[in-house]
Amino acid sequence: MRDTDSTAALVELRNARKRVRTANIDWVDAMYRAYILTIVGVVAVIVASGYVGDSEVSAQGLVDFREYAPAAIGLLGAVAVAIGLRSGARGGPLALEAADVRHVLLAPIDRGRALRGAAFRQIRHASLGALAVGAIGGQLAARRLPGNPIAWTLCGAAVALLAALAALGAGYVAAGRRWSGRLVNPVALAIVAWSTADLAAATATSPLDLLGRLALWPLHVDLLAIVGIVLTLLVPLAGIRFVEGLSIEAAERRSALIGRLAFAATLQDLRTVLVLRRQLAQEHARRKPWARFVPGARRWPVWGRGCRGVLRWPAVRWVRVLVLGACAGAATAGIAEGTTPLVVAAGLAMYIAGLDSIEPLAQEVDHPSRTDGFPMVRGAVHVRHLAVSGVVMTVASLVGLGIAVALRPQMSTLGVGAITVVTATIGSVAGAAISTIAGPPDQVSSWAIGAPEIAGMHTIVRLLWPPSLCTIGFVPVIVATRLAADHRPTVNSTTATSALLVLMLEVGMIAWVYAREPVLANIRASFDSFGKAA
Amino acid sequence: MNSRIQTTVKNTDALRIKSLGKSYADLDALEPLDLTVARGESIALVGHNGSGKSTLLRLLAGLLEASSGTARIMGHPIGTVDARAALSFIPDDPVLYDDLSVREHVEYISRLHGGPGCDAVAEALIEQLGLAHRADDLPTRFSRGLRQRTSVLVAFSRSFDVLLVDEPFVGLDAAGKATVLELFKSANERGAAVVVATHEEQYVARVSRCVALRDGVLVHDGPATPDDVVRLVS
Repeated sequence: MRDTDSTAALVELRNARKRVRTANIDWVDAMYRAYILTIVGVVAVIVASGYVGDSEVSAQGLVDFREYAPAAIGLLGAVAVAIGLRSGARGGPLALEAADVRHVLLAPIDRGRALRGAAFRQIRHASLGALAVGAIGGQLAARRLPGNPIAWTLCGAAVALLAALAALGAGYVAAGRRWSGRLVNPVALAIVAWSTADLAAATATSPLDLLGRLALWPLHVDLLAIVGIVLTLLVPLAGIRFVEGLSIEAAERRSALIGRLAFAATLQDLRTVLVLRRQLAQEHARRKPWARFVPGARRWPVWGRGCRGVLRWPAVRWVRVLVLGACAGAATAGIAEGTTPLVVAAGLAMYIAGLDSIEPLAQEVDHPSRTDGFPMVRGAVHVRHLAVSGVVMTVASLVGLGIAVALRPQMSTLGVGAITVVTATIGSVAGAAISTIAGPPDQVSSWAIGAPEIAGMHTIVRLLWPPSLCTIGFVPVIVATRLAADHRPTVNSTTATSALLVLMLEVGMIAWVYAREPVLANIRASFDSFGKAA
Repeated sequence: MNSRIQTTVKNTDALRIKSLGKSYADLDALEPLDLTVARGESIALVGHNGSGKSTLLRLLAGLLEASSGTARIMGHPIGTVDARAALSFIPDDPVLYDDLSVREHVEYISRLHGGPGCDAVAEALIEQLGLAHRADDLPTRFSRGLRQRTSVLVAFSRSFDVLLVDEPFVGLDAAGKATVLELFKSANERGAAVVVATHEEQYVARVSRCVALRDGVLVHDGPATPDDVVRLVS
């Protein structure tokens, strides 16, 4: 048998399938999607433009920009490459069709040829996205910086494209060379640390920072950027060269999970997305818990069950929760310095950590038939599960407080931070809990099949309310920052009142966790009886 | 004869396994084992749930990476192009394309393996497996049994020297089981080694050799009656 025959069959059939898919596209639907995407994109650009403003930066601002921007852009690229490397250690970033893994990769054909086609397709899609994001970034920069707007747009697009190529290439190399997490994680950390050190020292020495110099070509053509371009381009070339070494075991595991992950994301089923993402990362519960003794487990079984679950968390989940707490703390320091929009970042970090912390409750929600057999109302079981989540989030919040104090070593930071630890912790627990017990949207509910305007609004509220609740936990910081701007004490009755109001809202949401089922049942019964009467 | 058997290498064991094992972080799924299967031999692989049957078959198919040891298919290390050409695997969960009909599956898989595509032999195989009336349908719309038949069809629509099969009778009706058993028999007669993970009495009664695993350990290798199998898996 000749390999060329098999490869020709592969190419021929792929082209035939592509033709069938193209023929089956509903063009009206596709155009509608493009129309919606364009509107969302334009709105996003306008909102971002509003934050950037129109006035040209001051001379000092321009000096600072020249000094720090290459390293800052390089840091973003370094994070992208680190993500690519970590994905590669788990068999990514390629996501092959399950049938392709079984039939094509097990066929007697050159795996390099079979995989490079998929890699080129992924590179093509990622490149288009990166070009768009980079061009928008360049456009926004051109509004406040001197230089030719077209040059800013082109340079922005080029830098984003090269960073995306480097991230994908790094992933292919790690996957193809079968680099394990033990090797990849320190390398990824070193790449990010190098760029971070560059940013702190206002230099640009790492390869990705050299690429960052390309973004500033409209201001000053720095030929060192060419070194960055060449080094960055070597990564995807190496990736394409090595991708054939991809582990079939990892590819099969990934192909099965990615399809389900995409489907769950389409249904806005956040819980399933989280569970599948953990499976993809092979994040399994420890066989041996970190500790066996759980105080109060006999007296409070729900608490005991939750503690046992948390004590079996893998180290990576603990690290993630604590790092998210630290990020929230750093964002809080930024809010105190006057960058109020960072409250969204702080809220989102606590929300994501909260979703991890809420795992014992989520396990009950996944299997409602289990709670049916408990001698208490389901809401009571759910609320009791929040205690463990509260303890975990308190630890994360305290780490955040430590980071905030380290970044802004003042007594006011400690005072306001102590109040915020309480509101942010309870907010994150409440937000994650209502998100989890709400589950995915019901595709046939009266909301979903109602008027599009109402259904759309309902979907948005469902999606945004839980993270918003986590964000509201940081309101005391915003209030204190305003007080500081007016030269008033940051910890006073106004701050306390705001914290109290936030707490009342959060406790109300926890009460909703308790009472949700009977309240919804009553509402449904009322609707039914109203319908019968009508 | 409907299946395509290739007999390219003479005087070589179909399967030669040396200390092949698979372990995960804190679990030994398959303790290192040695096994040799001759060409034309028919083997029943038995064991209770979680005993390591599927792990062994998936290791040999190249879907899992061994933690220890080596295995050769017709003298070629597993995973190599020659080994892939010599081995056909029917998994317990049929994995099929969503957008290809039964006939298109045959065309594709056959040609990937350097075969003629969906020719008269393949059409006869489609007929034999009772898929003729659904040959232009998408398997996504099939029942479990029909998907299983399609999976068997795909495995037999290409040439092979070694056939590995994991629980092939799940979801099949009596007629389907009889057809699949007949296909295994004809594959043997043509010189292919056939290893089937199953407790199905009709198959176990027919084979001369039974390999049993328990908790990832090889506990029996030799002749076995259906009663012996019940004892081995309990």
